[in-house]
Amino acid sequence: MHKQSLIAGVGLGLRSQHYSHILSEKPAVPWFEALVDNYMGAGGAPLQHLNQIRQDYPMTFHAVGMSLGSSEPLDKNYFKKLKTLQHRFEPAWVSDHLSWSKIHGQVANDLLPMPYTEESIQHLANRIDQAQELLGQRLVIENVSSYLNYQVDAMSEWAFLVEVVERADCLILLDINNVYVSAINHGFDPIPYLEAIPTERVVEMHLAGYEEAGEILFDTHGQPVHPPVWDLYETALKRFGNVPTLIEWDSDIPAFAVLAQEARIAESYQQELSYAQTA
Amino acid sequence: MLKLHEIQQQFMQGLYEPKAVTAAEFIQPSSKQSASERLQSYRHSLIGHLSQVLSEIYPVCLRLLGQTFFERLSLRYINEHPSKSLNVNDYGEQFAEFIQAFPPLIDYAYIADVARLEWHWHRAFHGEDQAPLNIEALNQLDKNAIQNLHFRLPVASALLESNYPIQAIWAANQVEHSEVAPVDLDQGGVKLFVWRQGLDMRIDVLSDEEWWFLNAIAEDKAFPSLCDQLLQQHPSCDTASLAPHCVEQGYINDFQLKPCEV
Ligand SMILES: [Fe+2]
Repeated sequence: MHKQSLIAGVGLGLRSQHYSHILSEKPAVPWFEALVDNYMGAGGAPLQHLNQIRQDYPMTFHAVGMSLGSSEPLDKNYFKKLKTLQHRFEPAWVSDHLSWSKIHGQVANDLLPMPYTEESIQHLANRIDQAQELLGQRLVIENVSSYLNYQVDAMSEWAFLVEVVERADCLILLDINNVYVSAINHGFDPIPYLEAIPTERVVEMHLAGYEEAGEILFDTHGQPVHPPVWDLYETALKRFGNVPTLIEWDSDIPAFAVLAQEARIAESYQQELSYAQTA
Repeated sequence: MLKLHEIQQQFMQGLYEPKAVTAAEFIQPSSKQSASERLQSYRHSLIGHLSQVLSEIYPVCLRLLGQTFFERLSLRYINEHPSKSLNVNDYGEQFAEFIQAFPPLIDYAYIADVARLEWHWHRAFHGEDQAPLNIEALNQLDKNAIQNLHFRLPVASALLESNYPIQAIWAANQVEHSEVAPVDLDQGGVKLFVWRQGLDMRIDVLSDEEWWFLNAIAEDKAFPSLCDQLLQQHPSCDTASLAPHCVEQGYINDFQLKPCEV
């Protein structure tokens, strides 16, 4: 199986609609990111397909169910399943979000934002630490898009993110679309956000399409990447270098060629940066 | 100042039962939206997600009920059955019972049974992979061993009985058919085995004898006592060929030898 060092360039989020295309055409994609929660069943076709695709491509795991921010113990059952998959497929890394989704046995299968407080920072740092211990690997943490602020918020989203990752000593998956969506929804400038992020921790970026509803942007991953997000991506590449980047598409999933086209645009931004640096 | 767990508790309650909380107590309003509108955005997105999950597990119910009705039904279900698992693929287990008890559907009992079929299908699809039966080992058992023989059904399987022809309803309402062929509800009930053979999903209609036999296996009855009882229930049954038949069909996936309980 391909190893970690091969995660480079622009990868694609693996979606079941594209299994047969990938297996029959073997498209030139540098790596796939699997939504690991979709493979937590005991067996069947999803695992079989993942196994076949893993033979041909490097892979990263993206999780949505760790619920790292929940104010209750980590769900051991969830981590047990995750660990089994991690052993079997040897992803280069496992990522999840700076969010929560479970409390007192009830779950919102969504990425709910954290209050930006010292209590949250301490709590998240401890929990990421535990998760890293359980997985025996450094965790990659993604910023989420948000649609609200809490009354208790005591700092900016980026100050919060930086403090958590420094204390937990984990890595960052910087979702450029999420930065943009939150910037518009909360009326902040995304540039200081990018400038605050420690470059050496960013191992991956995400690109996706948002949707507008009234004056609010929603992170629905159902459209091509929007022009202002491409602009922000260009700025991010200048700061962080050609970090491995992933195209995410989760609703109204189009033909594989449409995703590949988005990847080519991202590649062109990366190439431009390489030329500029060598010139 | 509210603690993290207090905020999360209120937030969660606000998602599933919005009238029960005052959003402004923990959420800041913005120039664009009030605190409760901001909470409402999250509720909207959660309901959208869980409804989507239900429509993917229950596509035939969706087709039978129509988009608008199915969405209203999903909303009621979500309000009464908050998700309990961090893995969203576990959501929707009580949907059939909910349909059965839902007053507007009281005259449509077959829909709850179709929902049961779709849930079993979903579980079998994601169920455990197993090696096929070791027929050689089974054939080598001596007479004494057969006294202690217990057959096993595939883990990814379920037995389902309905008073309605739900298998025909299910088949007629697959998405690839643009037009729904009418199914006569009075054609009688069915006994089904919903299972996965390798990667192939199967819905097999069982005879009365097969149904009885597979249920007795599921109840962990030893083979000899199972045959005796089967003959009492179905005197005309050819017990000698039923087991080989079920092996051949793949219904029997494994066996175990357990000393008889005295
Ligand atoms: Fe993302």
